[in-house]
Amino acid sequence: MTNFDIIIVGGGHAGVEAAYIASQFKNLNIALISMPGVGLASAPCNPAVGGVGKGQVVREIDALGGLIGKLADRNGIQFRTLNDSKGFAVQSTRIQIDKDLYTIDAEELLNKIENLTIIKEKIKKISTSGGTYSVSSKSSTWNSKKLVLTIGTFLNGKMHTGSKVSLGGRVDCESSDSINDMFEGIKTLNTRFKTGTPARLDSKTIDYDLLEEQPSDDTVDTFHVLHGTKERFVKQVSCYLAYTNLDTMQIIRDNREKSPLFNGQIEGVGARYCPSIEDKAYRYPDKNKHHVFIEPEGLSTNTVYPSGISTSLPEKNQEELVQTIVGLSNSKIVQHGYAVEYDVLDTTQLDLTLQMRDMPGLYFAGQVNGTSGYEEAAGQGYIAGVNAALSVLSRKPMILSRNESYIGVMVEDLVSNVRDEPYRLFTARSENRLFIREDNAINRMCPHRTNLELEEDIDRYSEIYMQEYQALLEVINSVYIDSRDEFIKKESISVPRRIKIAELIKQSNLNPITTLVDFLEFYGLNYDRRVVRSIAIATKYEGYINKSDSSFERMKKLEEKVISWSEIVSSENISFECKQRIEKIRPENFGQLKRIDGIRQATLTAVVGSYL
Amino acid sequence: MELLSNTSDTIIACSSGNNSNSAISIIRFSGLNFCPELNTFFSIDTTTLKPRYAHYCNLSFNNKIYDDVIMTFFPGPNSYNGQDILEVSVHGNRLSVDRIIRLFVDNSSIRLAEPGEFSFRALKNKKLTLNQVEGLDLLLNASSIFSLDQGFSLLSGKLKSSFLKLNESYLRHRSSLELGFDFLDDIGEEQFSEHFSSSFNDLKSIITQLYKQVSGISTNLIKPEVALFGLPNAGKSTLFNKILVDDRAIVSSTPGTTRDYISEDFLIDNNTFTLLDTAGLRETSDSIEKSGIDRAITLTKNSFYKILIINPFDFTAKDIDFFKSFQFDLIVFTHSDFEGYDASVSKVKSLFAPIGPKKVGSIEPGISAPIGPLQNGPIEPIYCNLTDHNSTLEGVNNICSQVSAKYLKLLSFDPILIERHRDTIHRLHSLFEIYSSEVELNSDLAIISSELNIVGHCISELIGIISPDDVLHNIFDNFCIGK
Repeated sequence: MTNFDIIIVGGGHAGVEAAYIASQFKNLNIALISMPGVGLASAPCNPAVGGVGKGQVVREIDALGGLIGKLADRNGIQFRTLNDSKGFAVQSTRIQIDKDLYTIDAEELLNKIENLTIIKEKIKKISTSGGTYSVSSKSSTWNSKKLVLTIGTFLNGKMHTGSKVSLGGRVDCESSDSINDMFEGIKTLNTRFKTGTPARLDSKTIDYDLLEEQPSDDTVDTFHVLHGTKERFVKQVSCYLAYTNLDTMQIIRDNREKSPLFNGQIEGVGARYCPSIEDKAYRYPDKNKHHVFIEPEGLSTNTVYPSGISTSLPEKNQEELVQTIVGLSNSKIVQHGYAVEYDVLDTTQLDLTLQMRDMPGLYFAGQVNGTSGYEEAAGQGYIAGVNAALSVLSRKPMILSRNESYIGVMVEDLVSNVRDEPYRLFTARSENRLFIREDNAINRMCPHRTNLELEEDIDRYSEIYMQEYQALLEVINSVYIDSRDEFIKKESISVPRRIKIAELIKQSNLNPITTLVDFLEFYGLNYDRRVVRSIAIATKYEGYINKSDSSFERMKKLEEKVISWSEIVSSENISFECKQRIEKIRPENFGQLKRIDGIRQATLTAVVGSYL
Repeated sequence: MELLSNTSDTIIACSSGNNSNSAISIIRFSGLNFCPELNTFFSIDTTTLKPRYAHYCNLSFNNKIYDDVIMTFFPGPNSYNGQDILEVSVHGNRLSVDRIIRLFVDNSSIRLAEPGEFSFRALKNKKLTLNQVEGLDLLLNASSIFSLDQGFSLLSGKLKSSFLKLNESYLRHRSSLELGFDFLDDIGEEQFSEHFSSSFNDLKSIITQLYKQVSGISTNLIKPEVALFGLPNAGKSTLFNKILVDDRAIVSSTPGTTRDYISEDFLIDNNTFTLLDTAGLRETSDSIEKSGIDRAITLTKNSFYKILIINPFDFTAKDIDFFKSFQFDLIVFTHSDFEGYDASVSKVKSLFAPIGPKKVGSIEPGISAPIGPLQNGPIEPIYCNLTDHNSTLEGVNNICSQVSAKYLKLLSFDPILIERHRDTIHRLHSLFEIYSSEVELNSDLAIISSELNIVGHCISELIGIISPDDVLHNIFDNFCIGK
């Protein structure tokens, strides 16, 4: 078969997610074309899924019927909650994965899907005519109505270890060609991005007794809603914490001229939030103690990932610096660290479905859009995939707003700004952090999932979840207790008067989750654990969210106001530079305009005064 | 604000000073292509008016001539507010002006302008920016050198830059908080707390400084009020007239003549003050007089400078109780041309002595005239002997210099004049206090951050971008009709 409804090019986390959701529309024919010799959804950098902000995205994707949460659970070897003590809204789950199992699992799962064809060939040429896209390898050509390009790792990639430079995006595999060699007329940014990865160490050569152990936390909830909340699928192992010291940093500082990052060999722009160990050494000359997380890459492999010391120094220096670290003094490097620079797309050409505005039917997702991280890639893959499918079926697109999801935050940030460094999600990027939490991902995403009118297991689960949620909400707001209540007596809680359960769990001296769990258990009431957790946290935050909402109501109203960018651009009151940015992004409402990087206060004021 | 949505209506208002009769008044129209509709009202063809030329004609309707006028047409978009504008100079009798405006409102689709609506359209049509309007408002209404300066400084962005400094400090603090969520692995707990508390203190000190510039000023500083108050017939109106040099208040010897209040603007060293002559304060059963008295009390208490006028021959211990609740700045004893004046003054001074210096300043019994010092230094008694012109002048000058001294002292704190800024800074200060207490009591960083967001929202409002509807509303409420 050479004709498909949708072709997805690229089998990384974005492509896999796009293929998985698109193929849930059973009457569509989907093809996923991926580079030969690389497993689907492989994890070339750190072996973990989730993290601050990213955990929220994984749960959003999961609640929308995506794949990443399921794969992470099934192949997770260490579970952890980050920001445990900082408040529920910013708590995030992170799972270390067995890289090999993960990709095998992904291949198996996708291969089972009947309307999905997996093709492993290197793409040479892409073209379009008459609304049809043609994708060609050396020997074959496939056609489709919609094309999703997730060719991120790594477009026109170039790897650096010391003065050694090779073409490619990662060790032992070919790089994608430059996009313009494949597909004429697609605009990339003038600046190239760079990222890096640390050396991998041989686990058997590490003295774990000298390191701080971080065992897997068996109280952490799984990502996938159809899994048991505490279910574990494979053996659990520990991560370890080590520290750099003066000797480590001195080696780096002494070899500054050998670092491709600093001697001019690499021109790409790295992310400020994901610094290489060279960055840390040169930018913070007074600080010598940095965290190094020793993360196992799998159960059957002996390699570990030392997170925090990504470097592109020559191989010899890499060995020296690693061996200065307490616990790693005898460690052997299995694969050296490197920096890679690559092209990225100018994402301001995309709309909120990640479709090219000027080329309908062509979607971009993942690292090619200038993001970093598997979760960010997966989130975009989902959006591109589901919208390509909805578009084939002539149905309304799925657009997640930034007020309800981190995916929405990310997509809007991407399409409304020219990136000058790789984009990663942070909780700080959301204006609505108290509401966009891990625990209520189903509540937030369920309406969107329901709109797809699919009938998978997850849809049945979500329906029941929402019913239970409403029921329990009713309970905590209608049942009153006072000091004579048996539960209150048993727990020796002091209550000021007769109060609702909702008020009880809001009391500042109580943990809302355990209080509600214990209360329900005491009275033999049985509710889904996820429902209980979400209700407890929602109740705790209710007052603060309302307060914040009312404070931002006027702001939100203003942000939603539709503006005419063309009218603004023709104004005399706005600086040339701002006009250029506005013209490029074409904001549709005031909120988008406000979030454009480099827009001056004066411009905003003028727009508010003149157009709203 | 309703007028936001209706900028295509044609509006009309009297644009020149509008409270008294004058030789000429200017009635202004603003809208889109309204000239054809006006054709029936004028004796010349309004559709062919030559732009920016004066045209003489009759204003008439249904064969009745209402006035002879000169009109000038300014077609958009190169007019003051970007719309078509027609200015009609009419005779400045108030009745006539009102009748003409009503004629148009009743017999055409033209409606009365809302306050500030002409300028609002200028803003809408990019003829002015919001900053300019705010500065313009202050400039147009400036009645003191200081507010002129602040108006200019607003236009040139100086005040704004101090607000931007606040914004920067806020952003620094905000990012220090974000460090705690997203980058804790990188920087560690210790460095986080360090950043957090140092930026917190910085923000706190900036907000405290701004708060100083707005606190303690409950009165209008743009045109501060000077209130004369006291018992009926104490001589308030006489002093009022003396200060204004010419006779404006009605003066008679029957107690309770000034039933409401009379106000007049006057200048001291180029700063405008409003002098208030209030109703005499006394117990009364007359309900009309009582409402006048209540009003006088409110007026006095809200005034910038309060002068208690005492006729020493008519002041008893029971009056002290009534007046001691006023935080007055100055006492003026009148009737110095009467016999036994010095003895009477000493008697009254001794009545004030037990109240103590805290309430009314130190009136020490041992000191004969001059009385004082009160809150703002010594003051000679005012001799209200009309025949002794020089001593009156000297007394008045003395009062004026006291008022001016208090005003200048206040200005030395660099107070912020614009009402909206002051309101917002007051709100900011209290929001920051709430935030501070959350920081102290709550360990949930997400909640702390949400509270900080609310502070941030208030800061953005201060620099003028967040709630434009309210900002505009405030600004335009302060414009008089037709400006």
